[in-house]
Amino acid sequence: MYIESFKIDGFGIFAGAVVESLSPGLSIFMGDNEAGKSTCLEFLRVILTGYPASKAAIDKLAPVRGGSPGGSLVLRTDGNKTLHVTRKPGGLLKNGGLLSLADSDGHPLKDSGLLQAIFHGISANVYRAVFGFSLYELQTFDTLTQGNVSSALYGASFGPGLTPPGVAQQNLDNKMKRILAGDKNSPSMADYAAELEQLTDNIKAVTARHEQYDEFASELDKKRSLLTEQRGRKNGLDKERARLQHRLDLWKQWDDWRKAGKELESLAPDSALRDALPEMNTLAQHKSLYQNAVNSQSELSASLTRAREEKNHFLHSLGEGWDCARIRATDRSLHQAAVNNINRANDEIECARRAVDKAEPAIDRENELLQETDLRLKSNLASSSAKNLPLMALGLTLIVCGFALLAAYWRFDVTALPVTETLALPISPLSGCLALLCGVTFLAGGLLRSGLEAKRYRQEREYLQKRRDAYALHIALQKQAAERMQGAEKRLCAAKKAWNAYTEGLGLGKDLEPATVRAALVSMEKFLAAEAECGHLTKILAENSKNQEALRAPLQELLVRLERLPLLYANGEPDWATTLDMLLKDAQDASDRHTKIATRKQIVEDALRRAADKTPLEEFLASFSPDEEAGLMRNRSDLEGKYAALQEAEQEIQGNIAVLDHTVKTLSTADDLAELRQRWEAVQEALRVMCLDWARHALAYELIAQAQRQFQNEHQPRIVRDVSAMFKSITGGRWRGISVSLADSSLNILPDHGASLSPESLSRGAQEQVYLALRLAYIKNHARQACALPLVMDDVLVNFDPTRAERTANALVQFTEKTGDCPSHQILYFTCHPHTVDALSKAAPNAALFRIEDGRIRA
Amino acid sequence: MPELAPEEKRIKPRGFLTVRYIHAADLHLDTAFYGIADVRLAKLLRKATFTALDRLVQFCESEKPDFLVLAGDIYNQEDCSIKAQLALRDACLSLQRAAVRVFLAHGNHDPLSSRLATVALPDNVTVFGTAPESHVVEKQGAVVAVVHGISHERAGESKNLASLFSRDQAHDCFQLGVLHCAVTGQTGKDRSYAPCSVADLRASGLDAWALGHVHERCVLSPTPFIAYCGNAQGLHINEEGDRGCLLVTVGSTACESKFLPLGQVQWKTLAFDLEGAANVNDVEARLTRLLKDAAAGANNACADIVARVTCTGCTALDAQLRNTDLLQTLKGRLAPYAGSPNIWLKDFRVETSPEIDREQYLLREDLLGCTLQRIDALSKDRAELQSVINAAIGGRTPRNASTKNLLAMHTAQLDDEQRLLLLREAERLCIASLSPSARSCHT
Repeated sequence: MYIESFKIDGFGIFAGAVVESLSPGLSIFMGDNEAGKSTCLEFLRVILTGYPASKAAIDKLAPVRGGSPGGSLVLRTDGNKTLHVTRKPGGLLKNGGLLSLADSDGHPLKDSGLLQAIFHGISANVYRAVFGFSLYELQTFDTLTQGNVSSALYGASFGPGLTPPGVAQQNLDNKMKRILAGDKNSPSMADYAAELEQLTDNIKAVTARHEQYDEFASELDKKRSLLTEQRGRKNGLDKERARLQHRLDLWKQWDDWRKAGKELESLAPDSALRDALPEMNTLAQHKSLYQNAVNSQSELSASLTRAREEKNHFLHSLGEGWDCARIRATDRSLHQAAVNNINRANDEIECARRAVDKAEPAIDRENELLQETDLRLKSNLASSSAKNLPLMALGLTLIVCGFALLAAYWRFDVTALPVTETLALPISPLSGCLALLCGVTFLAGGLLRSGLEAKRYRQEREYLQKRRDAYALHIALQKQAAERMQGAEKRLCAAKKAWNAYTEGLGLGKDLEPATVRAALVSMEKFLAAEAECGHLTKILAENSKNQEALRAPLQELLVRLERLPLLYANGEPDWATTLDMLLKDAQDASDRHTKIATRKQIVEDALRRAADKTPLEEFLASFSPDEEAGLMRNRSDLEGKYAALQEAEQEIQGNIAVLDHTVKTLSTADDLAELRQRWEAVQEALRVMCLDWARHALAYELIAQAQRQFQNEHQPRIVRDVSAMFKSITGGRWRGISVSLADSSLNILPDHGASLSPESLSRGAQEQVYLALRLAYIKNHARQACALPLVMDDVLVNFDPTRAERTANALVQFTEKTGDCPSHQILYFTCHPHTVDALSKAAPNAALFRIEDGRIRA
Repeated sequence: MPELAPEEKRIKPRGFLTVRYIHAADLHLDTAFYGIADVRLAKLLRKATFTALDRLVQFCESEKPDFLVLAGDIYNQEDCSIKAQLALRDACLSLQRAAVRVFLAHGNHDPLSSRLATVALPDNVTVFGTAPESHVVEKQGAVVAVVHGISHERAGESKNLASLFSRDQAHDCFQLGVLHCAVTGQTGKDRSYAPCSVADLRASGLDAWALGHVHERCVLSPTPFIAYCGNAQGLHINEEGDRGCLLVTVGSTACESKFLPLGQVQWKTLAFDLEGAANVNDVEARLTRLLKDAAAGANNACADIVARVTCTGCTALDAQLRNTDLLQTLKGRLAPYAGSPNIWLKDFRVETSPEIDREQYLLREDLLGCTLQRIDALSKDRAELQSVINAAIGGRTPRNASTKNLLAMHTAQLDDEQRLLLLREAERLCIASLSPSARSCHT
């Protein structure tokens, strides 16, 4: 396979450079420094194997003189077919740019693996190191000893269609790394290892706790036994405390009983007072009467005095000769009848006078109204019966005219009545009726009064009649009043006569005014009333004295008996009521106190009797002593102290039991250890699976490596022979050849005589000759199994002496020709040295020469 | 060992009265299940050991045996589970109420010294000491059985405890030995726990032995009747099938045993044939059918099945099954399978093969052929295989000490079979890695 042509669209200093008609053999590209030789070499490597996987490196290859980045070349394959390869930067870095393939007709080829198949396991790095290299790259042997390069070089011979062993091993190695590193679905081995370590620690810790179960459970049993014991002791103390408390309670009851007895004894002096309580209560019932009597005494005395004075006063006002008996004998009732008669007559006269006086203005008013009404009536009756005579006459005229018109029309068939020569009155039923209607209307307007007018006139007349009747009535009433007044005046005279007779009968003299007589009679009445009041008050005063004495006497006697003195007022008088109250209160208090104490004593005694049970009460009571309480209290205090200590200890034990019980229960039901162990087993299983997976990949790797070594052992001698022959030829037999150790991949140079040398011991030129021979031998070996790939070299003969350069040129030219099982290879040689061009041209006179100048290439 | 047919279990009549007892062992209460990463499943399994104990009590209450023998490993000493010992006590209290005597011998996982002193067992329980002792069982006023037993004193009991037993000549009745021991030929690695032979057991002169320690149920001898009842609940994927206890009826002429299932969770390995499976839909449909069939085939005692699905067959999906989350996705979609019983998927074993002609690959002269030839050579040389595995692991182990230790620990425990399995899986990886070729260049 060789490059038939190439076109640089935009790459470094090249823009639109085209090279055509390259031969399948040697082509020489001559150019000065910085003319673009290295750029051209890089262009060919990039188009064939891809852009570097670094953006910075791609940027260095960007066109500086315009043009679309990238370029294309045409390959002619061994089957004499052409393949157009175009590559431009872009896409994913790892893909090496955007590659497009096309056949000879320009039809795109979708099989992107075609180029890969042609290269047959030669990767970009391998191509750069072995097939397309510069002087600098030639000078290092490292690139040839790397596993991938070695594998790639052997790959072609390993077997058609097989993945190069280096690639296969690399894939296996990557898989092994992935197995250990894990992925998003599974943790890494390091993660598992860390988890396992953590689990182991946790299991140890939890196991240690679980191993303490017996200890905890035993301690729990002990604590529970201790608690039972403590509770037993506490119960004993409880009973003792209850017994002590009971005795203490009984002692307190006994003490109360004893004190109640003493208190009752101390109440003995008050017995007389308590005994007198019923008598005092009886006296207290009279106390209100007594109190009322005392309170009303002074007032009653004063009232009696006033009544006596009034009696004397009224008696004196009657004059001499009057006394009580005479007054009582006087008939005072007649006086009143006489006075009543006079007064009645006077009243009647006065009443009649008022009636007469009242009737007079009414009569006058009625008279005036009567006259006015009468006059109005008279004036109405005097007017005409017709209201409007002309109007009536006009009405009648129009009625006649109407009839005349109708008659003229109907009887005489007259239709018009000429009035003037030009004016004629139309005669028709209409004009006749119109005239009749107007006549009736006017006649009605002038007719006699009637309707509302007549009604009003009638009412006026009726009103006048009523006024006349009222006037007559008032006249009659006035007359009756005058008559009544006269009768009353007569009765007054008679009453006055009777009065005079009466006053004379009383011995008061004649012609006394009724007021005078009435005053005398009032004095008599008042005298008699004062007399009655005096008697009444005297009686009440006597009753008062009796009521006061009813309290005072027995109370006084009681005080003497109780040897007490009454309470006194400020004036030194005894205050019997307050004294009674005080006595009563003292007696009641004494009685209540006594009753209360006695009751209390009885209750306590009853309780003690019950407590004594079958023991006789006296004996039981005798078992107590006043000093016993102190002993009991002391004992109880000691007991309380012991009880509190026991309770505190019990609480502490209960706390311990709760903690232990919780621990034991937790341990009894805990799944933590089992879960940890299960997880530990699960992690171990995952690790086991992971390790076995890793191991089978490692074994596969080893198997391939061993097979590869075996394979190389079988094929290596031929390559070594090729290298040796090529190196011997270049050096003109100065060196016998090389030897390669498969064990450590070391390379040794075999001199014509003596021990082998390392390449480093050779001169620079000789080293480069060895490396070139190695590359050519590898390339030859690769080509035996696969397609021959084009070689691109950049001034690799610089350091060769002219003789060896000439021999090398010959060797290169031989490489472009088919020899034995090795196909021909295309070589594109870039140089800036004319002598190199000469050497190559001499070896291959037909070699094409291209000149590179400032980014342009020409044949 | 398969259970013997009833006619083989016949013993000579000895004239003793009919005795019925339940023989249980290896309950391993509250133990942590290894190989389980699913938290929900782990909880279910841990609860299952207690459920087995509950079922045992229920059987005792319903079957009314003359006594119950517990032949060790009722709980795990290393688990320090108080809950387990309390559960045992509660169960014994229930049995006391049901008037069932209990004879308890401690085993290597629950040696006598591991008993919590404060968890007292009721009076109906007889705990055997560290020296052989015997106790009579009376029925209707007559001694019907003598129960001999011994407990492990410590976890690593290595004495032949069976040789310490001898028949009680004072009683001519059924005599039973209760022992937690490893009978020769019945155990794999742990032969050191109270080892003995069937001959030792026969030499004691006892009529029957109720043994514990071996988790697989088996009858070692019909006469005398020597049996492991197996564990009450399967503990891992290698303990498949029904687990429970034995109801032994000692008649006048024979000892007959009846299996009573206790384990509510059963382990199962399901063969998942993916031969010719062409797409994911096909895989899902086949897996659904597999789960359905497994549920249909379970017995009534089983409430849950924990299954390992082993994918087999030649399929184009081989690489997809190995290199993607396809199976985990299907597991998430289909499991736990809610049925009767429920089915939990523990894990998948991918033992499928790609649609390649391995023989042709072996004949190739390229690197792939070279690799397969190397693998074939290693599969025949186990020492070399171990050496290569060690080199592979040692050569690629990261420098991180923790990771290094973990890788060393988990890969050092591999046995020959596991190494071969690892080699086969590595072979598949080699094939997948080398063919088809991976694309590494930018082209």
